[in-house]
Amino acid sequence: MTRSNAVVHAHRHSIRLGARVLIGVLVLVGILMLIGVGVVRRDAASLLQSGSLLELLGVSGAAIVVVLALVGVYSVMVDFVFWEGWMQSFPDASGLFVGNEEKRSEHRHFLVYLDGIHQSEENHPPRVQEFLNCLESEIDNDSLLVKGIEAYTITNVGLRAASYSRWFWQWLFSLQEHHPNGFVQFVCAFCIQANNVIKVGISSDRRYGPVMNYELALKIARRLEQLNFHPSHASRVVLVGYSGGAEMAIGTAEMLQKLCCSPVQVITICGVFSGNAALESIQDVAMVVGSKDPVAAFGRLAYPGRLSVLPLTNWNRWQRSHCLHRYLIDRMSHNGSSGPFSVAFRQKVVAAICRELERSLVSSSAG
Amino acid sequence: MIQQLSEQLVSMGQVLLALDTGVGLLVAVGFSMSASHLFSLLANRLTPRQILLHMVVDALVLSLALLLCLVCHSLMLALMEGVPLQPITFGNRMAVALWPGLFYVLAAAPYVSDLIAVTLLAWMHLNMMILVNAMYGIPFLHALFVCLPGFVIALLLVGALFSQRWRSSYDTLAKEVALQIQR
Repeated sequence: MTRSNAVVHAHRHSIRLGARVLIGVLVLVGILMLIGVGVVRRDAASLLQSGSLLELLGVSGAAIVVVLALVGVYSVMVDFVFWEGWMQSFPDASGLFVGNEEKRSEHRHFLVYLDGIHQSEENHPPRVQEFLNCLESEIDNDSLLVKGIEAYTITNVGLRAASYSRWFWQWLFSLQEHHPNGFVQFVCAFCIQANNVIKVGISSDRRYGPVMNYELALKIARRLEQLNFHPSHASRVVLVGYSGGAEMAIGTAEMLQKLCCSPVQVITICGVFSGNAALESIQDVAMVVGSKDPVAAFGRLAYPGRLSVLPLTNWNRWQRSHCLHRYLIDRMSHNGSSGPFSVAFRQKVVAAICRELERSLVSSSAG
Repeated sequence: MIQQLSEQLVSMGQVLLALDTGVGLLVAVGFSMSASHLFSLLANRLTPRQILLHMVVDALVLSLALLLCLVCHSLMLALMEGVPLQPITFGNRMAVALWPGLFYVLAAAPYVSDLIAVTLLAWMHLNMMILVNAMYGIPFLHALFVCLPGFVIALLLVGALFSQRWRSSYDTLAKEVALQIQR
């Protein structure tokens, strides 16, 4: 009995001690929080003064510029290391299409779809996939729609398997897919899109564009090779680029034409492109544009090379010697429920693409 | 407004005078500028050793171009304002104006490179004017004309070096494509 009393007493004592420690810790935390709030209030008050606010804005702006520049430099580095053959041996294009002489494809027109900056892997989002199915059913039997090309990576592997940075992308994808917090998912999606925007920037850069566009053209050519493309039988290659994919399409067109020894044609859907790329030997470029597309309109400002006030840019020079075909779709926006892949506008966009394919075929056979 | 701006520029001049880093900064700026076109060397498919060698040589050439810019300023000061010609002392005190050039490596970033390069070059030119004003009391408008010829010469030299490197890399690319098509 006495022993059990002693045990109970000891238990009570330990509970009391625990409670005292807990109270002590809570009081300490409370005091620290009060001090913290005081300091934050003092700092917040000093921050609200215009001088400090301007300084904070200046420092933040400078930090953003430096971070963006460094990320851009890293992205360019990957492309050029691949070009140098240091990452893995640079693919040899000398044997392209040689094996296809015997087993050449029945198709004569190859439509290559290049997706917008939302693309993170080979599979397209459901809405885009439905649009592509619709396009596939509308094009002629001798045309083949090539899907699933990752326009923003230069190697055959996607971001998940990219050399050097695969751990980062795998971590980001896993967060995007499994994290319960919507904001974290949004940040991850934003990072992936930012990476693709940087790739669009590299493609449109006068210095880096030629090398990156050649690498992408080689990737597309190798994909065509897998589909039994052969220059002697193919009539043309049509690059269909949506949004940022339009820049990639226009950037790679001339290189792809050289590699495939077949005419290359470009059709942009709500395209955002620079007009810096060389297009001299490309005969047909068409734009499918929405009347309410703010992104494409912003693209014209972000890429001044397309403004008529700069007549010597590649885009304006091309326009002087060729005819640009525009297909304006009323009330169509850039994405979402009023975008080109929406149920409301999908058919109209497909019809515009088919019209352009027919028109260019007629004009080329007439020429 | 103009008075306030002028006062701020004068105070910036005093800060720059106090920094007084000397000609050694020129070499650092040269290396930063040289690193900004590292990718043109990669595009040329050079080996790592060749790239390093080219970067060092380019850095020295770019430092020389900037030194020439300072000598030109000194000459212009002697011609227009009658300041005694002391290129070594002048160069040593004026080199600090080039400190924004330390960030020129950021011009390697894609697409925004022009904006970064123009901002840094304009900043360097502004610093030159401020320092000339702080050292010799020459009004800003006069300082602008004093510093302009040297700055233009430096720009032309830097531009010539960069464009030569890129032209050479495009030739490499064209050769590669031509080789693939011939085969």
